[in-house]
Amino acid sequence: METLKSSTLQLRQLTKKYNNFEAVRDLDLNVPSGSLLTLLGPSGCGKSTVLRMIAGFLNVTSGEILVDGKDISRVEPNFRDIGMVFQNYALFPHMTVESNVAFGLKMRGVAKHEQAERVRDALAMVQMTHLADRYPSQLSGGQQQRVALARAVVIKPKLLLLDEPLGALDRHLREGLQSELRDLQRQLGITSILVTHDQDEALYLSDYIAVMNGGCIEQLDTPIALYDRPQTEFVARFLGVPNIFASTVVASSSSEVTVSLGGQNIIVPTDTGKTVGSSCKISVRPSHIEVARSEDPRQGVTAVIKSAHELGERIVYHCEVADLKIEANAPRISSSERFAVGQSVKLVLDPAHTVLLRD
Amino acid sequence: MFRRDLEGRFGITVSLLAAVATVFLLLPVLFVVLHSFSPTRYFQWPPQGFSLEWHLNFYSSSMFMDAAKNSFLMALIVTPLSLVIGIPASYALVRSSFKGKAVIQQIILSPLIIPGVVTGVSLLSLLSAAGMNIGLFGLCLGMLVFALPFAIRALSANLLGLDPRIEEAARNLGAGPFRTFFAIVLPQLKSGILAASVFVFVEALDNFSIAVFLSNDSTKVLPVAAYQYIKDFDDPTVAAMATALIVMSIILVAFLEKVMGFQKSLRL
Amino acid sequence: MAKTSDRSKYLISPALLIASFIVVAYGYFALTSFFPKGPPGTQFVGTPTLDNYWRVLGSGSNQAVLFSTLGASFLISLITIAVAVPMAMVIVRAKREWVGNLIMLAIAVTFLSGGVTRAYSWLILLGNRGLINLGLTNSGIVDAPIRFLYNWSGVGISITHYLLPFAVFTLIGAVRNLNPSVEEAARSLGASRTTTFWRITMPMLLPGLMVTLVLVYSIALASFLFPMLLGGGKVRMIANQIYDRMFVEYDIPYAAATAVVFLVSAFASIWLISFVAKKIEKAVS
Ligand SMILES: Nc1ncnc2c1ncn2[C@@H]1O[C@H](COP(=O)(O)OP(=O)(O)OP(=O)(O)O)[C@@H](O)[C@H]1O
Ligand SMILES: [Mg+2]
Repeated sequence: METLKSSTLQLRQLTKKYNNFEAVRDLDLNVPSGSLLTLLGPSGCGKSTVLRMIAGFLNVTSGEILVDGKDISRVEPNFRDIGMVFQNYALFPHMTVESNVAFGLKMRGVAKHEQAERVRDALAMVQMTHLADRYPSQLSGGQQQRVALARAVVIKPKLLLLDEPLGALDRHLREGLQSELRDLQRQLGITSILVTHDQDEALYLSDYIAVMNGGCIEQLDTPIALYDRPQTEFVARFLGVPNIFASTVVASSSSEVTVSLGGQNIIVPTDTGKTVGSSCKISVRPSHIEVARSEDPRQGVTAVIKSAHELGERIVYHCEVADLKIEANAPRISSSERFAVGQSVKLVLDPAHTVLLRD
Repeated sequence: MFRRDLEGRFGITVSLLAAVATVFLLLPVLFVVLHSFSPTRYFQWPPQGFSLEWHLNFYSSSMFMDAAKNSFLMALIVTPLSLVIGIPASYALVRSSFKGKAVIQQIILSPLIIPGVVTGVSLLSLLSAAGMNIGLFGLCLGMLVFALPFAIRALSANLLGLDPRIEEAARNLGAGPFRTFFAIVLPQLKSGILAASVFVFVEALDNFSIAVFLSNDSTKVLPVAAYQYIKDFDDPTVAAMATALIVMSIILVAFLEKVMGFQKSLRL
Repeated sequence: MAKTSDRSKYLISPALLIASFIVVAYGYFALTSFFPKGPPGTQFVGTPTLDNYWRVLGSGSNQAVLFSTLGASFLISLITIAVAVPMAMVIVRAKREWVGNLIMLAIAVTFLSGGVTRAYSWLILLGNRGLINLGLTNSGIVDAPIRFLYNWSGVGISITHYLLPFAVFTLIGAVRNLNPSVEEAARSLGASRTTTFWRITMPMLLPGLMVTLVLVYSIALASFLFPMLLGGGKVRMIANQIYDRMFVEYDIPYAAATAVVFLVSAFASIWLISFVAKKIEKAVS
């Protein structure tokens, strides 16, 4: 299928109040043309609310929704030209697969022969041609998902919205469809917004991820940057970083700060200086901490191993220094040195992946 | 499905009780059909033969035929009206929220819990106080008030089972509100509309407590005619009428079964 | 800003018209009850009074009709449920599906054939020389025919028959929703089928039974045609009293007061039943 002329989406100061409760607050967001942005966040943080405002199913309380620079926030949903894949698919139960996919074209008054052609292409794209005459109730979950996707993209929408599109499928099927979805999105070059609960799915599919919290965006980044360098404690915790340390600033310069961890000094690169003596928080993933012999000359934290487990691809060490508990991982390969419980080791934090969290 | 517990002595007992109950249920229906073919005016056992006298009597009685005409005319007016009012009303009650919704719903459904006699007598008293000649209009209005809740209940149950996201999907694909309603909602309401029509139609034909207040000599309906006939005469002509109604309900059940499975359409 | 969800509320408008008509009709009728009866051709005259209520509540025969209506409806409802439970069980759980379908078919045809048909049929069936008495005397179960007509037994039988489809339809849903593994657990722990039914199934069915009871009771209260035909003037329920006051005595305010008292006591008793039902459910669970 040909690629679409893709659009940009901008949200400006978008706010949604339910009675007096602000579900979305002053949200600003730019989605570049052709990219896939994921809204990720805990339940109730406002992801669906944002998506439904973009689609036009919820009135905005204030703010703007700009598609290619034009505000569409007052346009009826049927005139928005935005494709949407619903959670549980929302296929029309009384129509065949073919009629489902043709519906949007019919609404746009596309000529019959062109309708048939485009429906055929769209079904071929999701490998559903052979099931065109079935009704939704005669399809498996994965098949329904493909039909929903074909139905949304056949109208060549300006944007594609995906509300937990794979949420109802089992893990195995999910993974297969994730890569299909990604290929399709790249191939069509369609600007897309995805809502998901699933971190791995977000990391795998997205060009950008916006982590939401209480109706605001906490951090917007590429998947790798987000994974390696969460900027706030909320994001770090949400992404499952176990090592988040409270600490105090010992020294500060324009490019780095020195903080105290368990009574030992560690240098953390940062471009936002901190006053000496102030408290701060540090985050670092276990895989970014190297476990070395205590006599290792590099800068690090000397700690005692409390437990060691070999789990799948990793060796997981739980270490302790003073009151501080630190988790560190080593690859479970023969060349990795094994340390025993009770042994004193040096934990070397990778400076590039050690983050001074914003308060 | 769990069916094993209907085995053993316990299962036999339950089945036996159910069988007796079913006989109890069917007895009057079967009996009245049999009685309508009785050659004698009074019930006799064993039957002394077979006669069509009472059926002929029923179909040639101008009182019964006029009443049947009135009944069907009224049912054919009330049924589509209750759909035309009931479908949009159910949609509003199920899909949107507005001030006073609960109160409005309670009021519209109130004839379901307020005894029919009270509703009938209230309507009669208001219409005559307003100086209205009751006539066919008053009768239809009364029956509409009484039957509308049946329609709304059946339709709302159907609507509650529909996923609102399906309607959003239609809007999202470019259908306006009306298009969405006619192309997406209405087809999914088929079973509710069918059930509502059957309930309203049967209720309009069978209702006695409203009709006895709101029908007069020129708008007499079947149940009222039957009641008066039973008071004045002592012969099986009413059994012939009952037989006609039973045949009609068998046809109705067969039709429902064909269209959608009658079990589904009769959920109350 | 107008969106479909906001606009669709206006679809209620036609029904709103009907609703206001209902309010006016009930309201006007209730208002009537506070005035003295007018001369023929009018509905009421004069200044507001509570006389009609004293007439309704003060007379022993009126009280008797009120209480027998409430009591009989309750008893009839209990009997109906007792008859309906085995039917619902068999419909949902019979091993051969056609058995359940057959019973459903019987219920559907009976239900749709209407009340007048059934009232008439019972009238003939229950007569002194009707089929029932013929069967009872011929088989030697009784010596002389039992009088069913013009007393509560015939009225009760016919109302039970009228209520049965409503009860079964409601109970089917409740039986379907039972979680069979709970019963299986009881069986595996050594309970017999009968014990399981009384100790496990019935308590789990209780909420459904209570809902059915309230539904069936409120339909029974409104009985009008059955006591009129099978009661022959000897058995009177409140609906018949209201009718008589309207059409025999032409006393609309008196009829209205009777209706108001009827409604109040009906709602109060329904409320009481639901209240006790909740208590019982709590006690059982
Ligand atoms: N109609 C409503 N009225 C009032 N509050 C609402 C309404 N809809 C949503 N909310 C509230 O707004 C907040 C955001 O809801 P939203 O559905 O957008 O969350 P979400 O991020 O999609 O959550 P989930 O991941 O569970 O789907 C929640 O706290 C929710 O309780
Ligand atoms: Mg959501």
